[in-house]
Amino acid sequence: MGEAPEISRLLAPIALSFAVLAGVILGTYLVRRPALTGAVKVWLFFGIGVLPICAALTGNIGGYETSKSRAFCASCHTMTSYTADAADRESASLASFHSRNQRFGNESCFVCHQDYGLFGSVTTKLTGLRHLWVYQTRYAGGRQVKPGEIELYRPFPNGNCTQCHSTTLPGFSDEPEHGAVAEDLKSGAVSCATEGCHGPAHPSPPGAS
Amino acid sequence: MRLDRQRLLRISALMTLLALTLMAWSVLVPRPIPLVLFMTLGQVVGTASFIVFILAILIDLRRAKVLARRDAP
Repeated sequence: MGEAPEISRLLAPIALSFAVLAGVILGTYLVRRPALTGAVKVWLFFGIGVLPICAALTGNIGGYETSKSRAFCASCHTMTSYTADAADRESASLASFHSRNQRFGNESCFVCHQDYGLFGSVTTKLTGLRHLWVYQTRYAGGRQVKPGEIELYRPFPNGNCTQCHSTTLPGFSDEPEHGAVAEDLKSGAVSCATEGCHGPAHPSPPGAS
Repeated sequence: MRLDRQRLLRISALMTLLALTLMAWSVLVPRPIPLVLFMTLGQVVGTASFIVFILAILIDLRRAKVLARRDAP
């Protein structure tokens, strides 16, 4: 897998250290089976309570940050043509163009495809679980993707574009094409990433018509 | 079945070790399956182990008469 985010690389040894320390305490307790003296209770408090909680906290933060990285998306072979294009500095695709922006960088898949809003991170991660289920049931074992087989579960929301691109500044409203489809853009009937507008976001996967 | 402190602590310790193993796996192999297992099963097992640990503490406190039974005189 490619390079993990900096915070994940920083937290990984910390999380593992907490886990190893807790493991040593618990392993010793399980093997030696000492009497429950005050000192043993204190050790167990650290082995079952304090250290695992610290390990879980650091592990969760590191895992969450890892799951946002483009390298993580690329760990499923069905995504590699998309992620390779996004990482290609010579590509003229919308995905590559945005990935060269520091705001997106190595998290460009997540920044563009996440749900925004109050529970956006939660719903995005739930969708990630669905991705994993679909991958394991259809593509595990390296089965190749048929052309046109992969598609979004729902149309790409224009709100994800307008998180950054204002629709009220003159640069947007001065474009007559924007004015012509203003209502459709608002309702989502027309996507910003439609071919002929600003899309397609990704080049067609190999073999697609 | 009688709730025994030592047995509860051993169960809690084993569950904690399982949760920590899942966490370590997800850190060492940051791919979707280990990460999802840690963030779902690992969290559930880890939280359950802590609840069992709290239960063992409550039994210990009651035994030491720090926590009295309701029906006690």
